[in-house]
Amino acid sequence: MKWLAIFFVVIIVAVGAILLIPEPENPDHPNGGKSTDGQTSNGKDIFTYVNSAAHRTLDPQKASWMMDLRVINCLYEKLVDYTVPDMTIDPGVAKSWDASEDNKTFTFHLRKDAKWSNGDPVTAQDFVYAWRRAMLPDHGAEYATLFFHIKGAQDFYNWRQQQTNEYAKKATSLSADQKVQQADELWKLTQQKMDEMVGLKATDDHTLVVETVHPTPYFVELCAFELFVPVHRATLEKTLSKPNPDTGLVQQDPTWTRAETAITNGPYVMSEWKPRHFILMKPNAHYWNKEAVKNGGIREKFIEDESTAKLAYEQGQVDWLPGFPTSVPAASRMIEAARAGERDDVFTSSAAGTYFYKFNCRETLPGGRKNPLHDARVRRALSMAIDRKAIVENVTRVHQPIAKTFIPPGSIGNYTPPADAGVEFNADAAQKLLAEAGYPNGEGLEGLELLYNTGGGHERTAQEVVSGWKKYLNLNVSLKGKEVKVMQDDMDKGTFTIVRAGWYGDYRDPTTFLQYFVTGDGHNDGKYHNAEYDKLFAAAATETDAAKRLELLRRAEEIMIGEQPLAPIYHYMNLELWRPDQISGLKVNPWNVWRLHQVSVKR
Amino acid sequence: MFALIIRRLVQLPFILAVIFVLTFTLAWLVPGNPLLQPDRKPPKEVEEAMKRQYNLDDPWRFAASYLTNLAQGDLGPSLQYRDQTVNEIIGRGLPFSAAIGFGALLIALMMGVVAGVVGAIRPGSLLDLSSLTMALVGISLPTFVTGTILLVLFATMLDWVSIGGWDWPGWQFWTGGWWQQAREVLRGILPPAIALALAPAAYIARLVRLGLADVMNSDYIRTARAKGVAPGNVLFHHALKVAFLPVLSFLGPAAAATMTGSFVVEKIFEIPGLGRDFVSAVVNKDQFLILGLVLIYSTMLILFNLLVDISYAWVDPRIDLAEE
Repeated sequence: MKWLAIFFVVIIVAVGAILLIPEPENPDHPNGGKSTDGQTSNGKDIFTYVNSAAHRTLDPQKASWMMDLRVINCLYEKLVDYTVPDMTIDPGVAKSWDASEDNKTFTFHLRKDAKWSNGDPVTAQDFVYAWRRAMLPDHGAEYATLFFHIKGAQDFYNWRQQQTNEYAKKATSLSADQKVQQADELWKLTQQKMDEMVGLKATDDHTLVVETVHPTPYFVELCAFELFVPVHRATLEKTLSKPNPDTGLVQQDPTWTRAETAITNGPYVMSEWKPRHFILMKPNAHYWNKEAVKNGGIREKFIEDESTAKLAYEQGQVDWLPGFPTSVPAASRMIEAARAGERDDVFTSSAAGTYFYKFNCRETLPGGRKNPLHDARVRRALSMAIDRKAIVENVTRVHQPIAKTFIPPGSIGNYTPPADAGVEFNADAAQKLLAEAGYPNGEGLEGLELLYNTGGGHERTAQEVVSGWKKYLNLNVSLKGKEVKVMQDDMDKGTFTIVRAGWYGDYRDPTTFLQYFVTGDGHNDGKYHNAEYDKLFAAAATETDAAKRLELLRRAEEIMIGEQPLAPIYHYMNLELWRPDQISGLKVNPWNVWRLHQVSVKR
Repeated sequence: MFALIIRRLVQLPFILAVIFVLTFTLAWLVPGNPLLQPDRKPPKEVEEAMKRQYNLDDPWRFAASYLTNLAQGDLGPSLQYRDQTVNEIIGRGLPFSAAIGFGALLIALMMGVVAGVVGAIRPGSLLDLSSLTMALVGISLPTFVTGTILLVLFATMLDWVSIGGWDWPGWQFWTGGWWQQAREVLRGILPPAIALALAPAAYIARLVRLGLADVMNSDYIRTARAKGVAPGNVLFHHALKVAFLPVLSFLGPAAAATMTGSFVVEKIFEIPGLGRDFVSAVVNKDQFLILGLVLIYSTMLILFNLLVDISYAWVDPRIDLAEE
């Protein structure tokens, strides 16, 4: 035991000595907060921001999470880009483009001075290669459907899927050598099919021609989505595996996105990436538009806990706190302080997303019970009995815009959502409608349950809604909180009556929202079905006149909103913090488009 | 002794195999698709393709390829952090968690033994009461309370660590002599280690106090005192050694638990350790990461228990574990 005591005494003395005996402080002390990265290549300050969720993947074609897309947007340059905040289209790698009269063929003319970070020229073939990656099922890109706008892409996707499926079955009876050989042959055939089937061609190094399945007036805007960036072909080819002899699938080495290997064509290069810690992006010396880069680099700091993040912001360690969660009490306090004029560093904007309750619209519920929610009048009545104003003012307390439609007004340029078809809070009308549907004073309407996922503040809103249904309609709706994956499972199986949901649009066209309620769409797990809605949606797909097309879509939304397969509650709100006296160039917009190279820092 | 070690090491793969089968089954039964975002559902064919690239469409193919890779020491890719492999995640997180966990264990031992001894020498005294109260507080206070208090103390008042995670040495902007490096590391480790140490310290204090109270009344201590051994010597040389045995058996699992990280403490201090991965892997149904972490944790638990058994035999030679 004596040795133990001696050991402890030695440790205490050593630790105490190291901590307490002073040594001249190093000026580059990492806890100094501000610019810890020393001199930058262009002499400008580094812009820092907080990322609250660890990165999933920085592979541009496989990414889908917002925090990943934000980094991809800094590293790669697309054909075109949005200007913020007015959301017009700016040239990027493409210096000009033409669309055919029927909006089905798009030709992009690429600038000749666009370069990769290793000096290689950016060519049309790089785009073809990148976009084809998203169309190859082997890579499992979540957003593959965005590329299904392109002619033949979906057919090719399904063809390859089916071929590899069959191959995997066949492979169990093959010898090792045969497997390698046949998997190789299938891969060669796949590449050949890709050329034949998909309407995506590089006619020369600087011309990219894309054909779409339907008239797609928004296709050029779609190219401003992060998934449409090019990749450096040589690097990607080097890190692509040979076809797996058992499954026939090719696989990309997922570590190619690291600072050591990734080659990018955007304003920045990945200089350092310590997962779960930070990302440092430095200006790309080969970027053609270097003059537009207004800061000395970008440092993303990973801080998961929102109160720690807020503290770091308040201590001046970070410049920007993007997407601060509106569900925490600190958010409503900040917004109230900003409204009272006490803070000038709190920025809010309506987002292109909607928070809603989704109804199960099937005729019968699991177990064969008749589903009262199949009747649109019941759904309307329920939706009418939700006091949305009370929710955004007293429950969430961040004053989100109240939602009447699925598509947030003002989020899509020329599109005006049919607000008149939506419902407003009106208890009397709701009661009358419910009586009409055969449930006077709520009698006979039983077995409803509001399902939500735990965490994220959904519970309080759900409680408010359910108590409103009791108060105004005399309905007993039970509340059920589940883990998000478990809730998702219930939705897949259709074992729910009412469920919390949310949707953010992906691109600036009504279809990114309206697809949701089309018969057969995966998101439509309430199985809403209206033949007229489907017909209008389909008609819009082939309509070449842009204005007529939007009108068809508006009518579709009008029909759908009239039947309320969803009760829209509010449109999401973005909450951002930055010090306007130090940071300029950040512009709030509904689509969360951030062009961080335009941000300048003055400390 | 040697036979014991060999036997335990031979048992190791079999225990791990059982753990693997259990974890694999449970992880497979958790509902949901780890590859999707909440509220998002791509078309069937896309979801199928996403699953297939990781063999998530077929449990048998998954198990077969997992075990083949495991035999080569490859724990597979992560489904949640798709640009990283499980080996990388563990290799990156474990050193942080282990360093802090080890620090926490040392602190817990020091605090616990001192408090326990004080309580046992003068039972019922003011010192004993206060150490008991401390122990109670240590056990009852959750780490998110003590952790936050420590963060405020060390980050805002002492300016030892920066809020939102300190920068470990080895990062490029870190320069300075070894003295300063050592100080940086200690400043980083100490606050979370103290937060982690409080609960085990309280537990150790109780174990030592109870054990000592028992031993101090036994015959051989009375004999030692009667023949005139100095009181300090009685305590340290004769009594503490025996009273320490329950602490030793507590240390095995405690070491495995603290050194693989704590969710709460790592979140508060923004430490890129393993604790958070344990929770997020399960929440996100990241099967590869769940399996990898459980295997690592089990291996550490078994090895630490083996260490405890060895030191048992060393502290009290009468115990012969090889003949159990």
